[in-house]
Amino acid sequence: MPRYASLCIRDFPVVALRRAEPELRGVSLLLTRQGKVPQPESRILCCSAEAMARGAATGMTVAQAMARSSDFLLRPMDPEVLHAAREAFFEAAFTVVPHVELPALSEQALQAIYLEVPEAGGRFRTPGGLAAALLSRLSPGGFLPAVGLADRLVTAVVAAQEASRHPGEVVLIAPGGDRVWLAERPLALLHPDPEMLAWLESIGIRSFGQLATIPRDQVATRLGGAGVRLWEKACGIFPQALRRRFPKVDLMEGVSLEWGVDSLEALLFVLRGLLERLLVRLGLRSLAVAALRLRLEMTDGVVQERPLGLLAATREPKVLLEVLRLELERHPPNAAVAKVSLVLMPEEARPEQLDLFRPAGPPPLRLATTLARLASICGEGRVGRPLPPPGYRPEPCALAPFAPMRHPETLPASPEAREQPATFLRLLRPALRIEVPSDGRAFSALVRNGVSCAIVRMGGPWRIEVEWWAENPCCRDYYDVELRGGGFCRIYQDLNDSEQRSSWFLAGVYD
Amino acid sequence: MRAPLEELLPELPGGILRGTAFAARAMEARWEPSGLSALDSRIGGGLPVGRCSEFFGSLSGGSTNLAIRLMSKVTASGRSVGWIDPYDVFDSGACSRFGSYLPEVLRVCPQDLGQSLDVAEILLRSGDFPLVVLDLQPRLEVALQFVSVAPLRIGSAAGVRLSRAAAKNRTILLLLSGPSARLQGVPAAVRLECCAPRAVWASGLEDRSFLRGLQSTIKVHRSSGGGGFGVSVIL
Repeated sequence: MPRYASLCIRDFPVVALRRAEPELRGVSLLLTRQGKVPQPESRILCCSAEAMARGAATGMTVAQAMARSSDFLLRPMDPEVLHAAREAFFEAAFTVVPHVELPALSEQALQAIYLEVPEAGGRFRTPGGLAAALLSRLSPGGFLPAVGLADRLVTAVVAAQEASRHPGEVVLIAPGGDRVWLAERPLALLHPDPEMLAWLESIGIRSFGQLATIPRDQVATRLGGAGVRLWEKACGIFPQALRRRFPKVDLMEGVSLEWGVDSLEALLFVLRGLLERLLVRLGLRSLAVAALRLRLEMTDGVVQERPLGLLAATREPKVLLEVLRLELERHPPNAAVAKVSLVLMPEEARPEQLDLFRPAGPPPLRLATTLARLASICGEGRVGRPLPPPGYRPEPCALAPFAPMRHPETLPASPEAREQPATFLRLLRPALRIEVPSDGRAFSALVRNGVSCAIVRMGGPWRIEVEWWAENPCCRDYYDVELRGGGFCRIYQDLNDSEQRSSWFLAGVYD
Repeated sequence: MRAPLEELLPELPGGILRGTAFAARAMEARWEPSGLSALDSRIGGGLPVGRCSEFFGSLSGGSTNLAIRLMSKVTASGRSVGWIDPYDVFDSGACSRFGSYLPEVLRVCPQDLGQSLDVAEILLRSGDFPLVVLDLQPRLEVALQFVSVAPLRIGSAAGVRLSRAAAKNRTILLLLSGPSARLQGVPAAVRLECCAPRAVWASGLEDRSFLRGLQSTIKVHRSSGGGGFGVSVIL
């Protein structure tokens, strides 16, 4: 027999705003309609408990509230902040119980979440354990909801709403005790239509129990569909099954700025806040960031979307902030920024299987952080594991993602083999075009920009002819060259390049 | 039960030690062999762990060769190496043919000296790379004087920072310099000058010769085994 839980937060827009701007805690906040500068005639959509204590109330005009006290902070509601907070609230609950519904924000600024707990307590030993787990998951994100737990969803919702005046309070309805508990609650807790509520009160029906005693047909005749829905709730019947939802894969946080931001440091300060909140959400899922998407809306209406890749998944805020800083330094916004949003594309942190007989490598997440920092400094394509050239052309040196593979069967050559002579080139990429004058019998020097290096001895040639079928075939004669003064170089003559003034190239130096 | 276990012990790989953690720590390697036994025997066993070392010398002196041998030695034991290559000169084909285990090599190509030092510090501080090679040898066109560029210098503040990071994480920082030593303000634990290279030529098909190796004189300027002497090795 499943049980139901409901989490309820009163004045949710205020909670959302304080989550984005923690410095607003304790401030008397009045929130007005979104996207408009508050005017004296603007209606207050939501206000903080501190503002209520000073006489403000939802539905007042700004002028009416300011007449009671001038010590209010007026802010328009930010849809980006509200949306992000709703998602964060939902995701945190989802990590505890996977059967979760996120209903719309009610007009009374109540934000609720409905949960279906498979068994009594689920994987938690007691119902109280479940409530404690929910609160411990939600509090790091800045949420402290009231919790109601009952056999029926309606009872849990009413219990949470009743307790929502005291954040963090937990109301546990004992199994089988729903009907008795609900019968005594006032109907006003479900915020029915005020006219209907007034009519019901005028005929003496104030509680759920009183309404439930009236036959359904009579309620339908007198109050219509809305009355029947209220009657069903009074009887403990929820109008529909739990509409289960899954969290979105990508995580987004955004904020509308009061004034356009035109300095990099100020923008990074805003981004740091977004990033910290996103990483708290990401931490609940035990995931790391694989890529970012920065969206900037300028004061002149231009919108820029900037996808930013990471070399390896990481959860290190410093690294992510450095990536954002470098991107903004490379391509600064053309105008002041009015709205910022940041989307994280999560990915599982790389697991690693340790080997019993080999040294343990670096922890994958720490290594990924190091790689991401290096990539943020050097740029893309400059960090990785070197790959041998795929063919006979020595120039290309591609880089693959660095992921140490410690398999004993792939051990390299024996130590004795490594004591044998071997030559290594310091390659020139691209090869340097030079002139190699000849006196008819032998080549005498390497010349470039009028500077000459005399040749003492020359070995070769060995021809390399590859990819003759390709558009850019390679046909070269390679030589080893000893220079006067002690340098040893490798040069080549490009036999496909005879149209040029000189077809000789310096490939590298032995060292 | 004990007797069969005693018989099995010698068959276990050499890295497995018996005894307490303190005893194992006391036996932690203090030197990293360079890969050339002739050289290691003269410099006290190899490059000291947790210290900075520097190879410099003339053109084709063999300092890159020595560094790659060291890198191969480290990667063969399943440890990672960071190779900082600002001039994009790394020859992965030759390393692969030599037997270096490239999956354990992290190659980073910074764009200037400042980035190179930052990268070196990150790699040293991570503690995940027992060997970090910072290749600051000048490009070939500069070495052959085709182009004139002022030599790079590492300030003493940066040197001290790198040195401390190496000591804290028991990492070897190996600096490949140009014709002269560059690490200022920091006493390098081992400072080798690779000079006077001579070619070892070999004959191939149709009497065409090719360079088989280099015979180089390595002057030991500083090491735990002393300094001021030279050793001739074929690289």
